[in-house]
Amino acid sequence: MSKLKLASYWAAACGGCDVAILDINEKILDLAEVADIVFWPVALDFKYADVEAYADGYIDVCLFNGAIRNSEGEHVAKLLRQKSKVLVAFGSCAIWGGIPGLANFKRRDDILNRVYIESDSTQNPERIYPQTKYRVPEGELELPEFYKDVKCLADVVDVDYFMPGCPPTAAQIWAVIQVIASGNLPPKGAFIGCSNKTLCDECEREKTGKKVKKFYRPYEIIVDPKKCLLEQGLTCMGPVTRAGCGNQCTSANQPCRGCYGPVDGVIDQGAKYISALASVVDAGTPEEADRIISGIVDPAGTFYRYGLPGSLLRRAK
Amino acid sequence: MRRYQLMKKVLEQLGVEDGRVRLEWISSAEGTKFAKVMTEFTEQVRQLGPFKRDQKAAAGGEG
Amino acid sequence: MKRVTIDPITRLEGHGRIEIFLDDAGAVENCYFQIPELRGFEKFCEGRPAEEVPQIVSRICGV
Ligand code: SF4
Ligand code: SF4
Repeated sequence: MSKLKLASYWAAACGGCDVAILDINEKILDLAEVADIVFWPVALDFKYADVEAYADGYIDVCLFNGAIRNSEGEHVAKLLRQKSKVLVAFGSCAIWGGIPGLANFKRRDDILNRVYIESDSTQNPERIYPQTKYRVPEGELELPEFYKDVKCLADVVDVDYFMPGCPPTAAQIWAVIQVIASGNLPPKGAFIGCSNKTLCDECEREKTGKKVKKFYRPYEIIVDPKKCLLEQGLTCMGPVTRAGCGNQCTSANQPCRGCYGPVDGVIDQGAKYISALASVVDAGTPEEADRIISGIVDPAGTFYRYGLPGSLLRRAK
Repeated sequence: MRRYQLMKKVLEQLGVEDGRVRLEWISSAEGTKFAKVMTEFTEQVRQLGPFKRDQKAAAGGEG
Repeated sequence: MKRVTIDPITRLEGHGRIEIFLDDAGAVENCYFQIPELRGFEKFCEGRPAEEVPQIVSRICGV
């Protein structure tokens, strides 16, 4: 059998997903036994022109990380879709927008102003913004168009599998690579490298059904290392977050931030969490409930930390 | 009720004005109340006009 | 005039492109470095709780 052809690409991403692939450490050598990497900007010097020259479907599996922020991201997504048999939305940015998706809380023009005009380290008295086309004496230069909204990979191309995490863990990546190499792929559209239980189902912290009288910010409380963080008044997203990360945050006394997204069947993780949180608020009257809820300083930013572009509302007004 | 209170806070941050969301308990025996609430609420939303995105800076994340 | 495009620049975090223009003798006449990517952390960190910021800005670069 000929070797698998793998690609990995980043759109609006931080590179953490690419480094997570490298975190499989010496197993990268085993990977090299079964696969040839044919495009991977963080690690290898292939150009877009190389990818354009590949036949359609030449790449067996492309792991695509990062959100779609501009026309270049969309263009490369379409190119890689055409050249790949299997396209995986790899990491939370590609699936729901992730941290770059927080930009959907802001307006495009305000972002551009802040970055190119107002920021303290910028001197731009002529108020020059990036142009999609710019004439220089030698010819014309082009830049991608910065979109109004951050989009998810599946908004611009057909996606075969979804692998959540910010970033996906190295252990899960290795497990998925083995599955890919074996050829036993799950049905299209499946979430891979994760479980379909919630983090709470896999969490070993002691739950007593205690309700919450007050929500705390992390610096206001020293947590009990054995007890459920939510019951202690921290906004742990465990009840609405897919397991598979190995409970990294909760094991370190940190509330889950929700990076693995919702489990199958839940359309909107933030909305689901509103439900989950409301059911633990211990209030006799609406006024008391309001006081307790007000202890959550930034509810929208907390509940839609990784997923505003992929949520029902998609962006703030 | 708590769910509603929390949801309203989130929607406000996302720029959905207060007047667009309302919770009422109306039993099947309270036809007149239902009609009254619906008329009122329709009028209120009409006055707010269509929900336009990108009209003003998003309140989300501002506090 | 000949144009050499290096796209993308590889083995670093982020997106970059270099456009090099050569004169008829093949010497570099001019060279432009372009950054085609922007995410806008400068803006979307505004108004967020202080304790969130370290966790958000760690996603500026994960390499
Ligand atoms: S809410 Fe958080 S701490 Fe509590 S059981 Fe679920 S995951 Fe564990
Ligand atoms: S505990 Fe939550 S935020 Fe932390 S890695 Fe797991 S899913 Fe992500």
